[in-house]
Amino acid sequence: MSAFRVALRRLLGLALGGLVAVSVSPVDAQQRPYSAAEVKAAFLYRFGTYVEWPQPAAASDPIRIAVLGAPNVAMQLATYLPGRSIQGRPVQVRPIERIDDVGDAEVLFIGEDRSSTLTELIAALGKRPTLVVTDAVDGLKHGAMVNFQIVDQRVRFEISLRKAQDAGLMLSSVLLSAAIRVETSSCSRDCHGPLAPPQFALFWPFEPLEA
Amino acid sequence: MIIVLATSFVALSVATALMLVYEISYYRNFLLADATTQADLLARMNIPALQFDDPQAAATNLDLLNSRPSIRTAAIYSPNGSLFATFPRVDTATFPPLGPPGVQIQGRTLRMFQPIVKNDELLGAVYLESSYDLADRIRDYVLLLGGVMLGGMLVAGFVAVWLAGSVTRPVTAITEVAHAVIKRRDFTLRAARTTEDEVGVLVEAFNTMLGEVDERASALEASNNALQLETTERREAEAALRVADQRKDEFLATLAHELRNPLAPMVNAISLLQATNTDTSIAREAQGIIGRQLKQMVRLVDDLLDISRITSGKLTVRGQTVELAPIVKDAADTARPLYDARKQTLEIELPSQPIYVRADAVRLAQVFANLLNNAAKFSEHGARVTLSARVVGPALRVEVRDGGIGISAHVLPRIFEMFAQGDGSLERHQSGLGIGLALAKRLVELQEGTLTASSAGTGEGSVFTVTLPLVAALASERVEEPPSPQQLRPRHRILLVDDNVDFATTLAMLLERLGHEVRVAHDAQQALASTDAVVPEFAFLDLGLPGMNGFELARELRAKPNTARTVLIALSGWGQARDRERSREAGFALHLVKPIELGGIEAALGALAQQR
Repeated sequence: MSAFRVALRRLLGLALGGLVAVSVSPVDAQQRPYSAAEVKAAFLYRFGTYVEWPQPAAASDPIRIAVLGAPNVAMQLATYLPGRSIQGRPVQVRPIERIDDVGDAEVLFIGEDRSSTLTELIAALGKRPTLVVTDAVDGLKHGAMVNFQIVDQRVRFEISLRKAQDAGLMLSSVLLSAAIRVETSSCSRDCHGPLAPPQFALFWPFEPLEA
Repeated sequence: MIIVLATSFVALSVATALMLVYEISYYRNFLLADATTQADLLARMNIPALQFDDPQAAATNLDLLNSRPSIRTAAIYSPNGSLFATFPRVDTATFPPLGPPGVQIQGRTLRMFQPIVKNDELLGAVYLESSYDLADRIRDYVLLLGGVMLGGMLVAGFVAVWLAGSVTRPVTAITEVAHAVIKRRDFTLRAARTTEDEVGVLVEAFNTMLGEVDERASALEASNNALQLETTERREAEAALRVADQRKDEFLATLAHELRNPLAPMVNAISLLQATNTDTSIAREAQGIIGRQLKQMVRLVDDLLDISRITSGKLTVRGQTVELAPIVKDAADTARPLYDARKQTLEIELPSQPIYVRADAVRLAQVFANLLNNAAKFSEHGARVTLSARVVGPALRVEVRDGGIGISAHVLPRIFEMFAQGDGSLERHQSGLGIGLALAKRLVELQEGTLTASSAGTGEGSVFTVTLPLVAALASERVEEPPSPQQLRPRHRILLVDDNVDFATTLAMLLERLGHEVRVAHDAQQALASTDAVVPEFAFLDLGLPGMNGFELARELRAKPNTARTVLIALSGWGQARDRERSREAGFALHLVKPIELGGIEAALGALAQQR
């Protein structure tokens, strides 16, 4: 236990030391931002760490991320994923050209250039337990569960909890808390996520909390 | 006081030091753990923000540190070293470049970096800068403990003062009392009890102990005094015994001399009587010599017996109303031969009217005779001795005055002591046994009178005074006349039983000369045998017979029919009431005490013959 901890510390120390060595100064680091594809690839992998699929699979079965119509993201994933795992399972990326090639992949990313036929594509998937991530203006309205958006020049995302639940997926509250907007099944009106001001704001004596 | 304070100070100091050490260690660990925990919490909290590239959320998370004033600044770093979020949000604070993980303490500032890792992926790092106020804390603590210590010392001081009041003061008082007792030897001193607690009990116990010591000391002193007194008394008694022993030796020598003295003339007289050719006048003279010398011896032995009875408390006198004159005459008759022999004159002066006193006539005569003999003995030949009697108040005073050798002042107080003698210069043969005056004094005292002696000194003569109580009412009392020896003498048959053959034989001869018919027996068998031939009217029985004693013989005689009416008379050396009672129970009509003279027997015969 302690030996493991010591080893971990040493590893992290080396990693941080490496980071410090690479990034000479914070100013330098800020002038060299990650590309949108890099961020999206990392996000896709991280989404997987906060999702529970209905059928438990064997630990050796890989988690597959299918990428439709976004070759740069698929390429970033291919460099990003090796050596990483989700819930102890290896992670693979599968670039596909047609929606029929999804198979039983756990995550499907539909790129921006397929936004025009988004509704059809998602409808074709049916009720299979696949986390559908889109990169469109109204991704959620077309039936996506997670949709990327650019806010203040940063990659953000919104979530439709209802769709995920319909497909039998369980999303972690951590993931929900990071979203800029969450659509829930019980949310009849315009919902603004878990940090929305309380409905009884009439009696709230303080300034509304910042979202 | 100082002990209490020093003890408290040491105890408090040790406690304070231990508490301080513990507090420093504890607080330091606490600060480190707190910072670590805080950093850990921040790291976990900011994982999603870093994962999904949300500096706004990270900043919001960091805002929570507002509630921890000890944390001055905090920051989240991206893996590439750029600042991801800061606290406070304003850019006034400066942040160090991303450093290695761990804690750094500089002065009052604690800085630490904590990496943020998720799924083995390094997401960034947390930076915390908090105040490390250990010194302040220690200072506060030292101040606090110092205050506590000071307070404790003050309380201890008060307690010490109070204890001094309630413990030391009574103990000091006890010590003072103890010193006073030792110095003054006064065990009645007591320490004052002021409290009811253990100290009070101590004072009480001390006082009780003093009382005990006092009692013991008094008892010891008393017993010491008693012992001293006893020792003194014993010494005196020893000295008295030694004197008495010496006197006894002298007495024995004198007694032998006195007994030997009459024997020579008696032996001479008997030789004359035994000679056949002695004519009648010489024989009569010889008989007179024997009679006088014998009388002197009898008197001597009688005195001895009386003394013996007096010292053993067996002498009794009969208090009767008697007239003085015949008694004085009797005494003068007794002393007459001595006066005649020494050619001395005895003058007797009595009041004209008869004087009655309560006394024993025989014993009183004995006293006067004694005094007269004494006066004659210690006066020159041809001297004059006066006996005068007069009534003084309720008493009769009889004085015997002589002009003899007198009594020296230092002998006077001891003149009535037994065996007391005058000066050694006196002729021994005239000094007597030294019992005459002692006997006289006892006899007078037994008759409730006094006998005193006075003398102007040696050669000035002496005066002996007898004082006796007078009898107040003379007329009502019948004066007992001494029995006259010249009474009518009837003849009786008499049995005389005594193992002393000489006594029995001579008494029998005397009784026979008086005309009685006397039979003599020397033991009980002879006595019983003789009664078969002649039945006696009277039987004189010696109680101390060999074999069957007088009591048994009396019962035998009472049992025999022919002697049942015989009058029994006991002869005994013992005359106490108990002895008389015992002989009366045995059937004796009379109890005569030896020595028995013819006159006594005659009187008894006369009295009993009348009763028969």
